[in-house]
Amino acid sequence: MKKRGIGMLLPLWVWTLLFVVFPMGYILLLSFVSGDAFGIRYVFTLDNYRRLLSADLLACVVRTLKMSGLTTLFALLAGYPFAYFMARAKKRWRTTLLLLIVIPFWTSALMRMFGWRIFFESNGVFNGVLKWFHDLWYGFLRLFGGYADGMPKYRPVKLLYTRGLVLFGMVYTMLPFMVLPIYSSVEKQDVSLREASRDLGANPFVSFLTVSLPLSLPGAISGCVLVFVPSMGLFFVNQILGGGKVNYLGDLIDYYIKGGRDWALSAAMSMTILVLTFLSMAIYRRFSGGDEMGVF
Amino acid sequence: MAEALLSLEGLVKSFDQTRVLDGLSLTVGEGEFVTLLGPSGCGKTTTLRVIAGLTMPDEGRVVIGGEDVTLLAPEKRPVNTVFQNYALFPHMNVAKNISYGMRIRGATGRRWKPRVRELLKLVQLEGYEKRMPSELSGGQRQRVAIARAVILSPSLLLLDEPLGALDLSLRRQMQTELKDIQKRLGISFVYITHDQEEALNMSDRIAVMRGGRIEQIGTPEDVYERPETRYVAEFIGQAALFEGTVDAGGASATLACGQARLAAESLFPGEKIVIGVHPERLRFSEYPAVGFKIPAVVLAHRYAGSMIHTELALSGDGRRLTAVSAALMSDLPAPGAHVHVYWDERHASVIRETVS
Repeated sequence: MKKRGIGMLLPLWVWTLLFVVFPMGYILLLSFVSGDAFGIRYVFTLDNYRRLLSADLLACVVRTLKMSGLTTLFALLAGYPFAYFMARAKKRWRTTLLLLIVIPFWTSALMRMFGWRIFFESNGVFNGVLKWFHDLWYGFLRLFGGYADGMPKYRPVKLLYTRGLVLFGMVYTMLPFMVLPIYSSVEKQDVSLREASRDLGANPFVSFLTVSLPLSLPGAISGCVLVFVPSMGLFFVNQILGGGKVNYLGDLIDYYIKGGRDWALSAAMSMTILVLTFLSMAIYRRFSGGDEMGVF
Repeated sequence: MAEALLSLEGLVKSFDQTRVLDGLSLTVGEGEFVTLLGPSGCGKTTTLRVIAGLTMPDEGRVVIGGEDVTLLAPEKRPVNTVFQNYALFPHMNVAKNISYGMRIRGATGRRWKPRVRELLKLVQLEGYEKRMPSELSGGQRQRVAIARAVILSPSLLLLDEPLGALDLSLRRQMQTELKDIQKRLGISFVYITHDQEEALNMSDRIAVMRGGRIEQIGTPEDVYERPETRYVAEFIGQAALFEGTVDAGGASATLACGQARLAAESLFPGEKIVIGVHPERLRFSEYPAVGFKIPAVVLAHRYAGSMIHTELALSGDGRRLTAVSAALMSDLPAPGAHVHVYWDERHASVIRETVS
């Protein structure tokens, strides 16, 4: 490279150093020193990682991986068909659907979580509708079914603070990150490829399995990475919809920084997420065959 | 003509109020090479897509081998297509691409591998099994697309401007090869092109299309030598057209720019006709030819190696036309010279002005 090239790259180096290398380096350093609620002592120790290996925290890592994995799976199951049909829809519809995916981004994710919370509360909209049907049903029985007893009390379905609702909230939050890469990979497929497969004797389903699906895999894989990686650190969904009954890594990091004031342990947990991220990216690269398509 | 393999009957198709096919009918015989020739937008590709089943016609029928397939899905028709952009599956290597039609029907490697080898030999790509489409040149992709389309031994192969993306020398070579492949497989080809030279070279019959209909269909010689309409005459071989009226006796015609001799044809005196003469058949000389009276001035010569293109201005009506001759430049009248235009009347086509 010419000398001038290095000069041109200087701002990039400074930027990377300031915003990537220093902060990450500091977290890495923190994860290897001892510290507790009273502050950080810069003495090298593997204690934080040893504590991570304790049964409780290890279980938390596993739980986090499981939740992120399930989030990715359900986002894929819900997002793929949506993205596929959106990419195949008429141009007018495509724009509308794309807008529907993007509009929620314009409001705060926190706000939307509180919205779901209100929706699923014991006396929220969801249970309100169910109660209405419940009352209607017993009213109907009373009028026509000879049912004479008093109206039984409606017992609301308890969804709030369940793991299922947390999973729902996670999938809901991450869905656009699944839909958009799949959409773009399906949308850029040449229509004549599908026509060629039909022409050679494939029915629409076989054509999808042999042509459209394999060609959309790079998009699906980058969607999975884009959902899986942030899912591991996402804590507000669990705190709002799960009520903090069960903790995930993100919640613990949040807790040890704000509440427990154990920055060293938080740093070790952050590094764990980082390693898991790199791991999933390595798997992604392995499957996508490197560069070209996708985001990385 | 052999027994009809394909017949299209009164096809009509509109897209957004625009009639792309306007009552098109066509029959193709077994083993016949039929070319649909026309400018872009004349409905060639739509016709092909209707035959393949990729587009549904609004009216009309498609009959293949005696069976009405108008409503049949593309995968159920005994035809295969070579797409304009080849449409090779980018995630499959050459062997997988070619064998696609067999593999989705559950053929095992034992059955499709020998067949792929055979076809690669046919298209002269032996040893290319493991290559990916992205590693092939345009000509090679073309060959793979052809091999893929014929693996199921269709009775009819549809080709949509298959040579459009290739450079000229490769196109010439592929023309010969395609014709050769068609003869060896003994199947019918319906071939689309807008290149008249290609059409004249390869086809058994040419269907000249215009505005969603077939303007004229016939052998290459038919459409070139005996165009039935002004459009065909102008489109194929860029014929110069002379409007005129048949003189008494029927042996000559009076034109806007003079007079021309006519071949013995059953023309009525007073009948309105158009005489079409291809540029390479237009002659000019300082001396008048018997029966012709078309004075002109030489404007310029354009040297093109084997041919010389001469721009002429007709003195009678001021029109300009181009004559192509194989003479030496030094033998031709210099620019500015007054000459007489003529032709061998057997080389000219006479179109009767019946309509409009």
